[in-house]
Amino acid sequence: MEMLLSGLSNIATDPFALILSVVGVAVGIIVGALPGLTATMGVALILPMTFGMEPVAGLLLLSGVYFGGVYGGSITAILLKTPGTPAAAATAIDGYALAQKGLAGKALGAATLSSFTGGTISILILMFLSPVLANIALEFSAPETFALAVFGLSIIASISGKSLVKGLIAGMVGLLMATIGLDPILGFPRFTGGIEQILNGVPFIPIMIGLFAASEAFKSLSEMNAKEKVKVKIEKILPSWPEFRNLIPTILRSTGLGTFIGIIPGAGADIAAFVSYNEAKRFSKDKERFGKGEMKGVAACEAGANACTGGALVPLLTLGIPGDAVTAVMLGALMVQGLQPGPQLFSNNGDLVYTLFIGMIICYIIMCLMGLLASRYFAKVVEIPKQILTPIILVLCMVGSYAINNSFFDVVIMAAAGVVGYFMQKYDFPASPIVLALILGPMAEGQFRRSLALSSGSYDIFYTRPIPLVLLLLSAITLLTPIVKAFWQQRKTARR
Amino acid sequence: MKLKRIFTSLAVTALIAALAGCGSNNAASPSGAKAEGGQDAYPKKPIELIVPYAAGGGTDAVARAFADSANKVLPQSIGVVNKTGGGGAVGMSEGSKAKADGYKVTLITVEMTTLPPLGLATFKPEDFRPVARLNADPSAITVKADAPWNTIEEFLDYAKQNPEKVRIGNSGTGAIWHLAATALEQKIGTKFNHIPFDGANPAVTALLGGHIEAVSVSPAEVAAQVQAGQLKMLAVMADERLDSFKDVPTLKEKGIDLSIGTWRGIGVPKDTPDNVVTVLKDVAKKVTEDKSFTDVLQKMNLGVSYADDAAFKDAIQKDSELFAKLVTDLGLKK
Amino acid sequence: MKKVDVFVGLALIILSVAAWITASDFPAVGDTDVGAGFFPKMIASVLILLSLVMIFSSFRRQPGNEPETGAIPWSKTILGFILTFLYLALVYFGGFYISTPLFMICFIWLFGYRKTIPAVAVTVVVTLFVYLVFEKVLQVPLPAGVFFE
Repeated sequence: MEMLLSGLSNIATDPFALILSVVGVAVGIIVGALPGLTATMGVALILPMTFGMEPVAGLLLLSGVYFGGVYGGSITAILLKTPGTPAAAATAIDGYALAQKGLAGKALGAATLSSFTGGTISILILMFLSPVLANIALEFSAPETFALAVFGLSIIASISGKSLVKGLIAGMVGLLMATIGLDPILGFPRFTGGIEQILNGVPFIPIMIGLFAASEAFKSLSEMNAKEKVKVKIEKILPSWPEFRNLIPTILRSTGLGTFIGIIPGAGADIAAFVSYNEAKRFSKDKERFGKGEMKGVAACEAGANACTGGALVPLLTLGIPGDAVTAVMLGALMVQGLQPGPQLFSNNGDLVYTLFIGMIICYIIMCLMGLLASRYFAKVVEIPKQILTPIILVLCMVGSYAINNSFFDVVIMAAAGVVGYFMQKYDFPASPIVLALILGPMAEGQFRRSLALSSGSYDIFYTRPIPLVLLLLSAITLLTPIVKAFWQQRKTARR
Repeated sequence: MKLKRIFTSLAVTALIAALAGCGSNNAASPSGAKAEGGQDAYPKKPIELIVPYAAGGGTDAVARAFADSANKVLPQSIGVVNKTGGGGAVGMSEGSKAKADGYKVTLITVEMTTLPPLGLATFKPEDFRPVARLNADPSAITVKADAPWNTIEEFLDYAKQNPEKVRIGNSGTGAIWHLAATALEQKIGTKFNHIPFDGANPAVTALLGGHIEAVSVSPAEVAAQVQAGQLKMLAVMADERLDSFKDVPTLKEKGIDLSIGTWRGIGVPKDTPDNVVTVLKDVAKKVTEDKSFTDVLQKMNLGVSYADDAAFKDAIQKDSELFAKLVTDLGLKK
Repeated sequence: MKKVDVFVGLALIILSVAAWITASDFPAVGDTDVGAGFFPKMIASVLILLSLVMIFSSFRRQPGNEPETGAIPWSKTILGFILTFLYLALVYFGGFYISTPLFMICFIWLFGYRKTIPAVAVTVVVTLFVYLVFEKVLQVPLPAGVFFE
């Protein structure tokens, strides 16, 4: 408690750090909102600028970019179906549907509040429960992570949209694409045709940009009418209390899931968002509304994704092990500041660590305020005539996919994915299963085969341990429920 | 808009031409072909430093620290460009095929010598002219703190008596730490159970969780946990003990002649003229003596290790031969 | 039935079979690992199965149930595709700064938006914004174009 108070006073007397938090959050939101630029990339690119700064100021700048980056993806996902980050691909499912119903403002508001709640609670968990939770990270070995990946993949069934078969097909195509490149155990190049650029796998972010953003831009080509004037009334940004109260169970559940998934090494905000979405749907009485503009769908994804931030910091700070790409960069940032993450961090630099925690919560408050203030203006984006909006989106798609690897190859991949995505939309093949499969496919295969290497070839490892067993059973339920249901329904209609 | 750009670029071109005119007597050829005769002309424009790995990683940190320090001594700036993909193959392949005028230099790493024998690269180590080495880190054998082995001898004896029982984690099949562990098993005549992970950090995590027995990754990647007393480092595969881990013996001390590790340095395409290499080499030397550069590396637990072009070339040659042989022995060639 | 579903299903089956055949040459080392070909083959098999399900169910479905997609002004879609690909090619050769303003102005004009001042303003603002965020704040270079390299 004393530490907390001194942390609070440290922050309050450090205006420079506060200003940098604001700058960080603003940069993060822009980076997150732009297609292609992810939170990871934002943090990595801002990192060198912090080398000369004081630890608190520098690390809060990075935290701001990190948090803002995770949240920012939702803005463009809701307004333009252009998810800026992989996690926002889940937000786009219901967020964009809401925007099309004219509820863009409220969706943005709900996303902001959910991100804020999820993020802040996860930082509080990080503050008070780190030592207890850190061991979860160590419990998760290859079979556990494999089971988690399978569970994630089973979600494909619930995000398939109109046709279950087509959703599953899209997922399988994604999984097949995910096997392109060096195989995770032997390092054998598969289906590469000698192309160096895909040795480490197909470029995932350009494909996502193409499937979502570019395809949506292509779709709007035929909807252009010079005379038509879309007038959307921007209703209130803040949801009303009854509306928000309705979201609270979803937000809290997603926060718990997100924090937990964040702690697990190798699983990040993208998986957290999809899992939270799936669970929100599972617990909802009104499952049919998901995918057609359900506020809970947006809230779940955003709370889950942002709760991941605090979760991912748990193993980083307490054990010195980064669970995902962003925290790997944060590890470097801490070390350059002379802070060695690990068990000794709290005893050696307790004062500074608690100052940082307080600062992170302030970052989230700043993010919330900025988000709510700006949402009103962001929401106006939907009023921009399509003739102007579409070329802007296409330019951003090009720049975003180029910037990831400074490679024009990725731009070509993006364009190809855009054309494919356009026809997929036209014929009711959903895009999000592909994204999910590309995220989880390599994880599932790598961890499956690593498990067998660890157990010297014995399959016992998958069902003699509690976590994999439970997760695999849950996956079977998640996957089979909609299939059985669809089969039942077909029988019913056939009988009629 | 477009017109303005043309005017601006014309103005800039004129300015560059005028500036170039001061240095050499042939103002109209900024391409460098003629400038080779005019000694000290390099560099006349900003230099691009290709980093074959993503922003935010260890190699990127070395590159950016290098660029920062170099900008203090060079008249022109060095800009870092990350060209990721293929485990370093994409960036190094582009760097090796760049124009040999010294304006596109590459941050080369040990993968320059491992990717070609693995059959995963379109370049050869000989396509580069090494300029200077900046950093080197050996492989280290690290186990859990509560493991039954307290010395490297005990560990290796156990491994010899129980072939394929010791699970040793590395950062990926064919990656440098995998090759280091296989070189060790060849030297002592046993077999490990090699577990490839997707990078060094997951391997260390698995070791912490007790899912494997040892890792062969660099000291930097286990430093935090070793200092915290969760892991213990038994030996390093270096020529001499490390400053940061004075108590950890080298394998050479124990009679095992093995010295394998990663390194990072500056390389240029093979036909690059001498005057360019001389300039860059001097810059690299000054950088490795610059406190701001050594500070960054030290904080990240990376070892500063300067070698000039000749010494660097020899070291690369040795590595190339070693890894080519290892890869063939292991049947890893694709 | 939907012709597209049958066509896509057949294409996917061919693709899967090709992937299966390619994958059977992938190596498997040691006796603990399932090998590099196991996952691709398994995925390809499931994909073949699902494609068959899709093809058969498209035969079973009652005609007339599906809303006709028609009535799409293809000319505009094709124009947009062509413009976009020309833009990407131009970026590759001529770089970002020449191509982007050109593309945006052409696009906005050709799709029937005729207010000059907003069109030019948007073009300038977008180009400047991208320049500032990428080149200045994040220091990520934008494509310079192979002509100027």
